[in-house]
Amino acid sequence: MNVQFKKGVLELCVLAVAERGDCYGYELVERISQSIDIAEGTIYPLLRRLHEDGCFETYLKESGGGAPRKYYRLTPQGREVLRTMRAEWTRFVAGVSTILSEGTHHDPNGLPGRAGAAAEQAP
Amino acid sequence: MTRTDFLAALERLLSKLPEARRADVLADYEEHFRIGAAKGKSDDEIARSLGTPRQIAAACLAEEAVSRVSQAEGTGARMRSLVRAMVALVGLGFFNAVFVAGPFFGLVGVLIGLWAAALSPALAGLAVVAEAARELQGALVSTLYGWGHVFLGLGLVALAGLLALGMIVATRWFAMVTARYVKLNFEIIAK
Repeated sequence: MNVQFKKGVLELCVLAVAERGDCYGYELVERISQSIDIAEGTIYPLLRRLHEDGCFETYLKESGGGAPRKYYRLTPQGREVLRTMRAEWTRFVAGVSTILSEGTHHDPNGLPGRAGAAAEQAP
Repeated sequence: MTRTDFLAALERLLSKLPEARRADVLADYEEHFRIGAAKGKSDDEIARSLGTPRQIAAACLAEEAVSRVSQAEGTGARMRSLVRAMVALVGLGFFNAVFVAGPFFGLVGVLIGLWAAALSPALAGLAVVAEAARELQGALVSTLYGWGHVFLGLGLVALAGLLALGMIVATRWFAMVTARYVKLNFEIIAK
């Protein structure tokens, strides 16, 4: 997947996953890597930066019988950032979808508006 | 790759980070390995899905550079932190240096050319003065001629001085515009 897509989208995904409930690093990484093919290790630096920017707060919680885990919780600021990014993303995806779907109604080598001519030529 | 090898490699690549931060980063990955193992995954599997220590270190250093930008105070420090962050982002393939470096080096070339042009009257002037000084040591009849040359030479040096002042202003302006352009590019990519 194009690296430029991933950079912006990863932040959105991380925030969105955390919105559903506090989670620890491994959990978050797992959920994201199920849907997007990325190097999981690069998510932790992102979590750290979001924490420093004030979108997350972290706390340690005992896990039954093991060492304590670091949990990430979305702050009000994080929710706001998520809301904005989600809106931008929705707009963006809608725009791209429109452009892509315009392409399928016409001869790919022709210009929009030659749908009639293309239909006649189609086998 | 084993857990210890992975973490050791990562620790080495992050040696530039402040101690506390480095320890914190490593703790995150130690936790990741621990939980993965508890869920039945082998160290090798975990290491493979994490990515290479090099990739992770690059991401860490880039994020650190990015957060340093907003902490930097004063234009000089801010510019330096911006450049460092950009270099880190180039390493990750997120920042196409051509868009910034290309025009920048072109303009630097122009600037150097202009400076050379501005200072060359000084060289010419000094040569004229030197020549005139030599002449003045000679016959009396050429004294006026010689002094004329001296003043011409000094005039040329003064001209160079004026041009240099203009170039200083131009250079400062160029630095300011460059800083703004760099910042704009950076904000587009990193935010």
